[in-house]
Amino acid sequence: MKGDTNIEFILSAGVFLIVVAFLSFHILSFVPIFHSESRANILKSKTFQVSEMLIMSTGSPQNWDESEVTINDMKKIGLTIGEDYVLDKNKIDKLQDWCNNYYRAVVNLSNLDYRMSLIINMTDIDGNSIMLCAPEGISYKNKNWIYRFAIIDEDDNGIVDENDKIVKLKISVF
Amino acid sequence: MARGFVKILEALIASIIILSSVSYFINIREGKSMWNEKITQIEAYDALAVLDKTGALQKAIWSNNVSLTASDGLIKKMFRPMTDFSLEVDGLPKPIIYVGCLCNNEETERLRNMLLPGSSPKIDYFLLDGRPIQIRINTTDLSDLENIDLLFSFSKSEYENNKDQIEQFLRNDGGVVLLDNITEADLSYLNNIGFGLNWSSSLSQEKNSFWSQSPDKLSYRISKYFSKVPFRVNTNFGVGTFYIGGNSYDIETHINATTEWVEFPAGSDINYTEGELFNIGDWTIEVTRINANITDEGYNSVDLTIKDRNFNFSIPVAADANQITKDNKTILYNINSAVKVNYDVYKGGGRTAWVSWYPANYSDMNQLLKSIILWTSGEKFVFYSPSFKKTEYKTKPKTYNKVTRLIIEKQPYEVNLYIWNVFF
Repeated sequence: MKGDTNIEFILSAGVFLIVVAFLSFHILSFVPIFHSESRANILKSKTFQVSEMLIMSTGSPQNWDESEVTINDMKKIGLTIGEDYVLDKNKIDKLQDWCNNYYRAVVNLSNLDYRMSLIINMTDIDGNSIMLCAPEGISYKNKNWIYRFAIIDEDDNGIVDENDKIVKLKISVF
Repeated sequence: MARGFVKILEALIASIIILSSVSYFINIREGKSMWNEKITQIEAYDALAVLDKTGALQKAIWSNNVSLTASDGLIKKMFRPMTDFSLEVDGLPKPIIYVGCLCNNEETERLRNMLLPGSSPKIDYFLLDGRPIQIRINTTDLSDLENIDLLFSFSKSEYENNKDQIEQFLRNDGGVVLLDNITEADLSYLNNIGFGLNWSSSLSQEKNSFWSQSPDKLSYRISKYFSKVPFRVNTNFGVGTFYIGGNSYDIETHINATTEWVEFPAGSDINYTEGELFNIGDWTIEVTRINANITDEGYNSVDLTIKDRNFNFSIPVAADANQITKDNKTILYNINSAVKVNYDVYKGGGRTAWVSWYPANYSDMNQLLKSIILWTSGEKFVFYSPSFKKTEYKTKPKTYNKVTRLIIEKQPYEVNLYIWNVFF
């Protein structure tokens, strides 16, 4: 009878442990999927934030296109003249210059953490490049892109008309 | 021994219960990400916003210029190659209104003369806030309703005899106009179609005006159209005649090497050029457009617009007829309605308008009739659709993303952009 009790106990405990183990592995198997999904969502969300910042804000300080403002004075990047979707030509030129020389600083100003990188590819509607901000030698494949449209105030008069250029921004945070 | 297996069985059952209950609470499912849809919507909204800001969208809609959406057009270039779109406008009259006249040929010709007498092939349109609008009128036998925006008849019996087809036409968001005197006996079948008329015991009067100038009333909207659309006077034989308030007036078009002008009254040596105003009694008339051979030889005409929204119309009183009560859908009234409309007749839409009979040469009423046609024909249209055929009511696939932008211009209207992936 004693032996019976031990076998019963062992079998019962064994069945229980197998079930618990199965359950645990089952739950744990989802962790990488959700982690990857969560990270992808964070990146997409950051991409959207950067795109909004670029075409919906002037940046801080507002007049950062002026020559005396250096990248060290900057708090936030933004390309508009003060009107949503209307971009300042001088700010685009200056951002291009900073991207070429201080890429990591531009990434930091875009409110991204040090592990993240950023691509901003601005073209006209026919695909001619206007500005490219990207780390060197980076592949464009397998990235989450957001496509935005804006207008460059070509004549720098603050008035949008048909002569102003419509541009396409292709943005990715990865 | 048997007791031992029972314990094992208990453990198994307990495990299954735990597994089931825990699985219920830890319901691990990967939620459907809406990012792709949202990103497409953002892209579409941006496109509308920048086209609005540059004015390109309004300009294209206003001039009915489809180059914006052509295969090498601006919008096509903006979106990725694997996407397609359609563009719909809500809140503006159609640029081309196809009117099917349930009429004989003489009546169809009469309707053409009421709306655009003496129209030349080059000026077969009129301008509404500078926007060209065409009304194309053809006789219909109801077999071609897919190609028609609006049904028109001078005879109520046409609607009595074709009730089912007209009902279906209204269900598909069509518009129906009746210009005829009606009696109490006519109301049952007209209301079955959707005219929404009630009989009044009071007798109608000759003098009528717009029911209300309150913006929430339809008479306000139609009176606004009225003050902007012109009536046309055929001056191909030098002097043309028009009728306002039941009285006739003559006007003459002239031309020299550099300009066109009208002389009003004809022979008075008082001249007006395009955009100038003159008065008839209390009413202000604008010379909207003169065509005196410069643009189209052999089709002289002048477009005049009554500018006053408090204008008094004279409509002949018919015995025992047209005693229609007034309500929020009344357009012209005295004691009773003289012009009344109805909308959303069926779930899918549908607009109707009844106009009491008046002589075909009454220019002021013809200006009003044009305004009523603008409203009744739907005030929305497909500006662009890749596979749009008038014989189909499909302008987009089942799955699409929609963005809307409200444009405030001479008249506020919505532009709806539908965008979808060509391959799923």
